[in-house]
Amino acid sequence: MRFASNKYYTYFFVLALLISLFIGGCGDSDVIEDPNDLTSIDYSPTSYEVPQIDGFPVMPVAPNNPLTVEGIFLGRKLFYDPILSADSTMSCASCHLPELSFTDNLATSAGIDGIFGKRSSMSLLNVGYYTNGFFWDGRVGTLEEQALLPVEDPIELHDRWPNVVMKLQRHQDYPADFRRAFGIDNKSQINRELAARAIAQFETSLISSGNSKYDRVVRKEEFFTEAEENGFLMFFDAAPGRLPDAECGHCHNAPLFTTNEYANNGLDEVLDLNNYIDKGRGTFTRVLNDNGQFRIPTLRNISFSAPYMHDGRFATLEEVIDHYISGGQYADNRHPLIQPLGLSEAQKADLLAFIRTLDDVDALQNPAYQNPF
Amino acid sequence: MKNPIYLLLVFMLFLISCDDDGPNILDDVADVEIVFKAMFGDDPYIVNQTYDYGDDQIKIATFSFYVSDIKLGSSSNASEVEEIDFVDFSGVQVDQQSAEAGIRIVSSEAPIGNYPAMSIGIGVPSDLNKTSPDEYAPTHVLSKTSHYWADWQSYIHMKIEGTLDTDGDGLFDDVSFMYHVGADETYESLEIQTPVTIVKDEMNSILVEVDLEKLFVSATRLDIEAKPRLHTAEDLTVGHFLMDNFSNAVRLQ
Ligand code: HEC
Ligand code: HEC
Repeated sequence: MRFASNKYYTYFFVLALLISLFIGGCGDSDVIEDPNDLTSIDYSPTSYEVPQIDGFPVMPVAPNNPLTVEGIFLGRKLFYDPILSADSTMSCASCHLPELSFTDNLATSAGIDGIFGKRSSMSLLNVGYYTNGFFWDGRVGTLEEQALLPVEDPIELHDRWPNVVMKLQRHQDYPADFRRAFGIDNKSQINRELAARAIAQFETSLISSGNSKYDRVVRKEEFFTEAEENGFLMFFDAAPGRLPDAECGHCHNAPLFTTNEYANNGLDEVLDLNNYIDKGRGTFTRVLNDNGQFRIPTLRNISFSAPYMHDGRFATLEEVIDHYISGGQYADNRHPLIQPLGLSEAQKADLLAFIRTLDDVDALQNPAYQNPF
Repeated sequence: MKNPIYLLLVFMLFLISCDDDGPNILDDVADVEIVFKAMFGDDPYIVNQTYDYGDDQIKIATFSFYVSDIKLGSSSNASEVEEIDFVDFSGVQVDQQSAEAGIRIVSSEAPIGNYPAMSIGIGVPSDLNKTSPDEYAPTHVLSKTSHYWADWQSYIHMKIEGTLDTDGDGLFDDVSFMYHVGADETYESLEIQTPVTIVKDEMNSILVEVDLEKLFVSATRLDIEAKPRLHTAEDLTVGHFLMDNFSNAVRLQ
């Protein structure tokens, strides 16, 4: 091959190849205008930083899903839009209402077909800080994965993703929103993963305001009443000897008022660990000792999220506290801290007064968290 | 093959391929991993399994601790393997198989050679104990609010929680105990006089066994029923008892 042995020809050849690759890679040299093309819409995302609240942990950010104003905006729309359900009647917000700290007021939630699940909806406030699994049993590792599930869950939105994606692609606004959030060039690039990422971004933005009475007291801007102070001391066992230990703080520790660990807080008497109606953590780990353990939920804004526990069995916080004072029901794996507490009626009221200092109305009413439609 | 473009290609291939095995000064280090295994006497400890405790029966639901300043060699000439890490058997040693396996904690590198001893701190050393969880990224072991007690301004070096059956009816509803040990003065630093050899080109696995029974029983057996709690930073008697016993409870295999 004379041709190739000449180095000038070789250089020329390589150069030509590169140029043709370059041109070929540019794809959109077609003259026919694609109605699904989105490139005329500006893509210049503004990165968003979750405000750092005094004493709160650093917000973890998924490396493949950096927060942007546009991503959160899209996620917020999707969260509130019944387009995600088969009959356009329900959205995420149907079971996660902002005024109820993103829960519903049902013991267990029902989906579009009116079928009740076995578990109670969970608060989404501060959900972005959690790193030890999602759901009551921790079966899902990230918010992005979680957001994919309700759409196809037969007792939730009961749709199919391909159908939802089609609805989004044909929608008059969503394609532009996806373009602005993720820079896609074409409507056909809208997919479930991007939708889930946007929803996860919105959820990550749902944080405490830092203005609950508790937070203001911590910052020394205000004082507890005597009842609240007593409650605080019992909650955190900070006045041993003088006041009984209510044990709460070991599991519902500040600042998030959950350690996000899993525990059996003695709801049911179970002599054989195989006999839980809902095995909780054990459903996922398949470890016998995990049966009947559930993720410890946050107590921030707990006043607004009745009824309580994974199956919503307690209607009021008074009932919850009575449960803990009694020491709960026996099971082999009931957590050692769940034991009779010996709180008087007055001390019970004090404990409750303290828990109410975690009320954070500013977070519930944050305009950025509300229905955008 | 005089063509310079081929030479260039060969040269580039060379550049790419010799990325990690070119001559370098780290030649005399090897991989080290440390496996922690909790025991109860001669048996691997299993979460919430029943063991004899004097005349009673005991179940331990939680056993976790920080480890720090893990070094190979004697203090004067030591090589640090890990600054701080966290060992939690609670969700891990849950059956015979997982209990035999223990927990692999450290995966690091150390200079090859023979070390006469290894040192391990149990707990969070005082310099780090001045910090608090909100100063760390959520993936860092010191970000755990479950192991920080704001009222004491201290990390919890070690947690043991469990229950006793004292009346022999098979139900563990007689005594609940909870030992959350914090505060600088209970930090325990151990020097284990067992030789460790780090060999080249191998994963050097160091097995550290911690015998829970020995934490409770030294010259005397801890009377759990009489002192089931450790409430205050002022009364650290039980805390000292448990932490001091680590020196008997830890052995290298
Ligand atoms: C029919 C009611 C319902 C709908 C609709 C619903 N959820 Fe939920 N959500 C629940 C229930 C119930 C749980 C707890 C389920 C469990 O633990 O198995 C939950 C749990 C969650 C959690 C876990 C929170 C935590 O701390 O672990 C997240 C996040 C969440 N939902 C987000 C969403 C999103 C996003 C949507 C819409 C795509 C949605 N939910 C739609 C009822 C609902
Ligand atoms: C051993 C750890 C532990 C202790 C101690 C503890 N809790 Fe809980 N708490 C849990 C777990 C786990 C759940 C969820 C249980 C379930 O739903 O099955 C829970 C649930 C709750 C709920 C319901 C939350 C919701 O969203 O439905 C409230 C309220 C609550 N706890 C308050 C308290 C108070 C007050 C104390 C102290 C008197 C306390 N807890 C002590 C572990 C604990």
